[in-house]
Amino acid sequence: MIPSQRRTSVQRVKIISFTLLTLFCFFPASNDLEAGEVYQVTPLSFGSIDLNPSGDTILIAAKNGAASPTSFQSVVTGGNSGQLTLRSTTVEHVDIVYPSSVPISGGGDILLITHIADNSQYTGVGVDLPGGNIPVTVSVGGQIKLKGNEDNRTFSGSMTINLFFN
Amino acid sequence: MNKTWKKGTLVAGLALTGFLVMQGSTAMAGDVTMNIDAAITTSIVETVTTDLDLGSIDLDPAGDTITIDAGGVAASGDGGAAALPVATGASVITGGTSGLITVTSAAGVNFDIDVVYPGDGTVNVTSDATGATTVTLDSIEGNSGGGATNGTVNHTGGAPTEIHVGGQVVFPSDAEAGTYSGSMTITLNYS
Repeated sequence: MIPSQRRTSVQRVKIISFTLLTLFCFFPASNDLEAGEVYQVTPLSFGSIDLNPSGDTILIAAKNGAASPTSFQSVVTGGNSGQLTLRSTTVEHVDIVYPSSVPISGGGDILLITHIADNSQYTGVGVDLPGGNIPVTVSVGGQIKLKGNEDNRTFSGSMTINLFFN
Repeated sequence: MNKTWKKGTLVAGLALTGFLVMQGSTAMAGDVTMNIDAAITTSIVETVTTDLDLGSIDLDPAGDTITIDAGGVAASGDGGAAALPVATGASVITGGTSGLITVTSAAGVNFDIDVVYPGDGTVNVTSDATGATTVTLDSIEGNSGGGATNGTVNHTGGAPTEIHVGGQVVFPSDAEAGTYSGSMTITLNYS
């Protein structure tokens, strides 16, 4: 038989060792977990618009995926919906918030891009990333209303899209 | 006794582990910037292809009215023949032609053209001779394509649309010989 005092000391050493091991294995190096990322952004382009002199509305309807610009009575060459490419190491859900409108400028004038959320993917429902760094694309669209007899010029600008990784 | 201690230790270790995992869960947020571009161009070209020319007029000594009636010339790109000046009286006219405006655009850019001509009595034509006699080019809209008289001109992109322009000048009996010239502004409204 082992004396009771000696047995208690051995058991105490074991308890401390196990606890320290647990802390080492499960206490994270930092308080933050890794989130997904946007690793590619493709600009939104309305292309070259041979505008009808009475004006027109140019639309990129990307709610169901990549889309080209369309018009009612002008000729549009080139252009494309914007695109975000997202990925994550683990399964994540991403909520996306688009701006309501964005100004772009050219030659001292301003054009307003509107209806962005209405014409972009995953508005209001978000998108699920499968993890394993598998890329998921998000298409972005919008609309420009042009008045008649616009001067020839190039417009440019940028918008901020908010992403919430859960 | 040994078995009891081990079980107690195992349960405590797992509980501690679970607590740490819960404390480490966070949601991440971020913004991304996307560039935007658009280029506005127009392929519409308006050209005064031919000036209005009443020709060389050997004027009736009693005076005369010289008219170019281009209202009936088709406003299309089919190269319809220009209208020629006609005298009411005994004047003899050589040469002359209705004016011509040509509108082009890229295929697919289709629109209507509402032509607005100067009002009657507003276009002066003045001779270069001593004394500088001035006469008036009149009845332009009634003798031209489009406008209120002949209606809107329809344009189809990819083919030229021609708008023929005419008018009328009354030369008095004492109109001096010489070259008469002037200019007018015609407005094209697109819709």
